[in-house]
Amino acid sequence: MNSAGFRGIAFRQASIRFNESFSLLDIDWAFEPGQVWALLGASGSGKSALAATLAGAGELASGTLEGVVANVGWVSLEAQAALIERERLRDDSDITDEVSQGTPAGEMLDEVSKDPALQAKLIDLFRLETLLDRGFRKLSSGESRKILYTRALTSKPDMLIIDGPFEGLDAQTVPLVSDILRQASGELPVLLVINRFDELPEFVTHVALLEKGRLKTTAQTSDKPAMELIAQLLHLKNGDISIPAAIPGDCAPPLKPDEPLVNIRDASIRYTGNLVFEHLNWRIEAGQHWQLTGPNGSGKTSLLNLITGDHPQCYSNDIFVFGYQRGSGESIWDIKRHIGYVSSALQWDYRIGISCKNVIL
Amino acid sequence: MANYFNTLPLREQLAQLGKCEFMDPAEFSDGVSYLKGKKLVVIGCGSQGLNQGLNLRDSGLDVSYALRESAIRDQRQSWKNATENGFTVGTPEELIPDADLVLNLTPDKQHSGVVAGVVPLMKKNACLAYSHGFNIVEEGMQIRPDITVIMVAPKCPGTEVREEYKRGFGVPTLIAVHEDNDPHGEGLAIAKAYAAGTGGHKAGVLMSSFIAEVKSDLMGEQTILCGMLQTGSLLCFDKMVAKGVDSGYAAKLVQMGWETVTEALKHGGITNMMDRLSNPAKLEAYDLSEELKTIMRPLYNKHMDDIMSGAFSTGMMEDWANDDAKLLAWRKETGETAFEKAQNIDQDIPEQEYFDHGILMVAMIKAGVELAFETMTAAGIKEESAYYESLHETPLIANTIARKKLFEMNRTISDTAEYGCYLYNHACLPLLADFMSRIDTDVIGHGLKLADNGVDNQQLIEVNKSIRSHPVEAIGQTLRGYMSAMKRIN
Repeated sequence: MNSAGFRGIAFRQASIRFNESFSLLDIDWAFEPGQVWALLGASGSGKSALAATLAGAGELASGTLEGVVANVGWVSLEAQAALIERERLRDDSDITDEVSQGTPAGEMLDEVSKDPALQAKLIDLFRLETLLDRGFRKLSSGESRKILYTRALTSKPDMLIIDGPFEGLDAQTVPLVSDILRQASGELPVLLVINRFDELPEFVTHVALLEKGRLKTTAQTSDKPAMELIAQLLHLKNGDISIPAAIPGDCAPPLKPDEPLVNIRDASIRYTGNLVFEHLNWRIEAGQHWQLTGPNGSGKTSLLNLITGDHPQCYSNDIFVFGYQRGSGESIWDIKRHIGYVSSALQWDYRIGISCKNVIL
Repeated sequence: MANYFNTLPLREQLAQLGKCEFMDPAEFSDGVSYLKGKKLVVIGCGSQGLNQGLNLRDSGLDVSYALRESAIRDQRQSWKNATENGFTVGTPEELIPDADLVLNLTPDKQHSGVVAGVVPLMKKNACLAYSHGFNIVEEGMQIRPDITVIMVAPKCPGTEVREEYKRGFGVPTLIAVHEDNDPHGEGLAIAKAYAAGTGGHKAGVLMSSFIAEVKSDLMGEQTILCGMLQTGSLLCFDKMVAKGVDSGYAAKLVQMGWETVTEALKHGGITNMMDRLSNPAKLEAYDLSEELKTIMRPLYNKHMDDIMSGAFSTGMMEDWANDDAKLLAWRKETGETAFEKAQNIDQDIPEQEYFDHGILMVAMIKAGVELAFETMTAAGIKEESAYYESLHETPLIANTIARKKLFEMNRTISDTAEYGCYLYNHACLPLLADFMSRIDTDVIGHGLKLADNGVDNQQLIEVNKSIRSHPVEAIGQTLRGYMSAMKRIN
């Protein structure tokens, strides 16, 4: 890594078009050598879009943009989605009629790595060793984030762009990543996209606040009053969400009040030679709220998918959900009508352009 | 075993060939209920086998997988596919005797062996399902008379069958009942429930016959699907190189070009594919395709005749018995062609350029699709079958060529398709030699490069009318319309 070649990036009155419905407008912004920036803003404000511009996304419609570096290490949901899409295109199972396991995670690292020593160190630090033979698409969201980090850092980038630096990472990995980024920021330009103000790492020197595709204001993190103002602005923007009422007559049938919503008994998930968990019991009663925590790869998503029916091993376990013993002749749609579910996987599995309402209903 | 089709009287042959109707969605109101509580056992855990099984189970049916003992012992990929997806796996001896419905989803060529091994294990009055009827129709396999024999064939690759289902949709599906094996009159009910279990009823189900499926499938794959693309690839590439076009560019234009131009075909038929050309290029492509149709029509007729008479199957099965001597020799030849060995250039070719520089390729697709469709319908096959086995599947093979070129495309399609493809290719190459000698890089490689894009109005109106009024366009529009849910994809 080196920052010797970085002369700064300058946006002047730049408007950048992404699609029919979204553009960044009139951006004036200078990223000088030696600075560490974080982009802030509400969902849909354009902070990820502005970061993606530096990784080559969007189309400059007017104004100027200078100093973009060629070799960017980019960690983001979009970068992850692009790799998953590439895996899908490479999947020849329909042609060969052999179901493929996809590109192993280790190969994903080797194909971009220019720094074997750092690669070995990160594999150790992130505890990726046991995942290297597994197909990239089979990794959990946190595990694939770690792969993205390793790819970005070992490719000897001229700049690092990290969209949601701690997203999907388990508690023990967060300080490690924070350390790595602090160190990197002394050696090359680093740009972070931060979703929550309290996640702002202390080594960030400058922040920019975006709103509706425009750069609203910037501040040095050392300027306390300016930072407080930004915190307030950000809070206001996030505060006005309300949930619409249910559509009458469109509710799932009522469940028996004396039954648990979910009852999982002595469950296990295993792949050939690899046990995710076993002897798991879990009972959820109506009105309860649960939070699942655990390290990346411990099986949080797999466990949830046993409930939603998206994990195929839900049929080889003793699972009772929403009035149905799984595998007793119920259809997947009998289960799904009781569940509202949001995840990143939903986003990349749903590859068609239709309105949100259709997906939800 | 005798060719089953040839044992039938003419009127029965014609009736079977002409069977293909679009079923009313209301016929599927019972969903999977006919198969509820019954035991379904799948043989073959490849892409079709696994993905159909996942859908059927998610529809509330009881599905397990019968694998060879060696596959289980060595924990082969098929075993991993089935067990990691939470299915019960056992040997045929363990699972088949209890099965109410056995789904044979192995490759065609294994059917004789698989069926001979499985049927004796099946309980009385059970049902055997195929996804392709070659074994019954061409090989003349006789199934025990108490057993019901049906076919359910999703007209898309296995992963698409699964992805569409997960979104609550499905893929178009063909079903059929083998009338000689419907002792309890329940074949149709089982086939409908099976199709509903895979989600097929959401995208449209065609009721056909084993015979119509086999004869149209063979015709499509030998001519337009594999044969025309193979012959076209070799001719277009060699012509470009002979005329001084960079071989890396030529190889890429051909390999990726089929996929790009047939993507337009998939969305809006031949009309849309032709509309992607400039007006002068469209007139050029039209003239070329008319000429190609005149030259190639006798070849298409010969393929159809040999398929109908059984001569094709007989010849191929002789080669099977001879350790695939011809097939393997032809496959090797394909691997040694200049096109196959050429290295593609790295740089991207813009999407529109595939049309502008590939006018001849567009003409070949148009000629091949229309000829295959015309020949099939003239032989008594219904337009619906003819559409699926020509236009609908062309993009799938084009996609395979885009990933794998010709050698691997041939290796991975069924041996039946591959054998037919070579027969076509060997006959078509010399047939088009004279035509190709008059071809230059304006229609393949460089594009027209006209200063003026003007055309004669009357001529354009005539050509547009001729393209749009071809029967494959009318039926195509109807069938694509039925796939209303799928239409929103991409």
